[in-house]
Amino acid sequence: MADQSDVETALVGLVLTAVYPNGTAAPSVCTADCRIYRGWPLPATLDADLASGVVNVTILPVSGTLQNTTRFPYVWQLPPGQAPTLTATVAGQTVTFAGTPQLGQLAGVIVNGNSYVYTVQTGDDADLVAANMAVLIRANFVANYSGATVTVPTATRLIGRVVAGSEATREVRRQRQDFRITCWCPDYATRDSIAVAIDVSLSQIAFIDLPDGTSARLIFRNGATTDRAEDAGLYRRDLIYSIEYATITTENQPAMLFGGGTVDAVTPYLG
Amino acid sequence: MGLTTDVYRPAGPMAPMSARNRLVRLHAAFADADASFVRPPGYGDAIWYGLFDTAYTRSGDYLLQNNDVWFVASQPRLMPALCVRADRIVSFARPVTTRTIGAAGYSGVELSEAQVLLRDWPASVIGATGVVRTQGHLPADGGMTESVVLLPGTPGVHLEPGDLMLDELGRRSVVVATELTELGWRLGVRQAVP
Repeated sequence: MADQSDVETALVGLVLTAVYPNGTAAPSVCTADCRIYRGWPLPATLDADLASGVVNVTILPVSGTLQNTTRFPYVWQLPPGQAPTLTATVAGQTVTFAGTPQLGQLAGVIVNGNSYVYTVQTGDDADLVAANMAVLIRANFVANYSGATVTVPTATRLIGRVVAGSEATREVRRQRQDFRITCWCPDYATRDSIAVAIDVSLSQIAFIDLPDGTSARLIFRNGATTDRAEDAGLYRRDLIYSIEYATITTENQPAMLFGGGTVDAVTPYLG
Repeated sequence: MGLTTDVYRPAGPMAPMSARNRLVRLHAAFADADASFVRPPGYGDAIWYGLFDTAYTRSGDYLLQNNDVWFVASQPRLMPALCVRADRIVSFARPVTTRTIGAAGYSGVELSEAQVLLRDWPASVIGATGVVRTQGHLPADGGMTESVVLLPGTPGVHLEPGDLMLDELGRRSVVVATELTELGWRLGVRQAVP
């Protein structure tokens, strides 16, 4: 779920792109070195930075501006099914795994009506999946494995399958919060160039992407410029943006690997 | 004259009264301003006059007599040494924050990341005044006070407003004013509580 901290981190990334459009290996738009971070600068550190011409850009939520804007019904959203990155191919009495398995994917094999399921663990590759599958099958059958291949010599009916679950999401709340982007600059010329770069760049963005896959609405709210600390070598400009973002909950939606049933009154079927 | 007293000379920013900094043992007596030995200094007064052979001592030395500690603020010629009773043990640390160019993490006071400047220095911490509300505005808070800290000069270490002070009782303060004279440091500190 997206949190206020995720919004701040996303803003850090947007400001970074605006200030260093060619990457931090190249000069910034104001030519000065710039530090972009969440939180407040420490006075002694800021003082040293201003003396050496370094710009600080901070991102903070504006207290007292959080509003509850929840207005959508609670509906689970199911993303399109994802094809597993691990595959299983059957040829005769042999199952071959391939691809790059991802955590949580289910690899399954049916041997003569008996099912065996292995859940992919962190660090597994196709060979490890095959080895673990062979161990499971050996509970009932002779199973040989080599590399990513498992062979069951006594198999008369062999099925191999891989599925990947998905994550369903539901928006449970929506809120709007102001965030302050502050440029702490050593002189007015530097402030002019960095502030306009951030302002123009963010003005072209309507939605920002958040780590949970949701998007947040970005609207310019207001700003302020102050020279009150110019005797300390500080020229400051604030840009305040209103951002509306969702709070979501997630549930894992497992995929069906094998189905069971009865063909007639006495014959079970697994496939 | 006086009682047996050990002299310690700080050799670095850490633990100035460690055994290896013990310099000499002499006899010393401490008195109030008129050296009458009638009454000791009272509340809020950390200044004492030290009567001992100043040929062996200099400003910034610590004097340990039984369990009482003074430091020599100055020792003018032909006059008693000006000493400060140091009944607290304090350490100072400086918060450090990101120095990264480009995108950095979070900036703020993180005690675990603070750089230790001075450790275990006996000092005078007196004159708690000016109660103000805490930042946390907790219903039961007692407010924050400001105190004056007297400390010997610390060669190589320059204290600044914003530095953090921790005493042996676990109380944390932030330096709000600094004054460095030939007598040593006179610091204004404000309690740092939630």
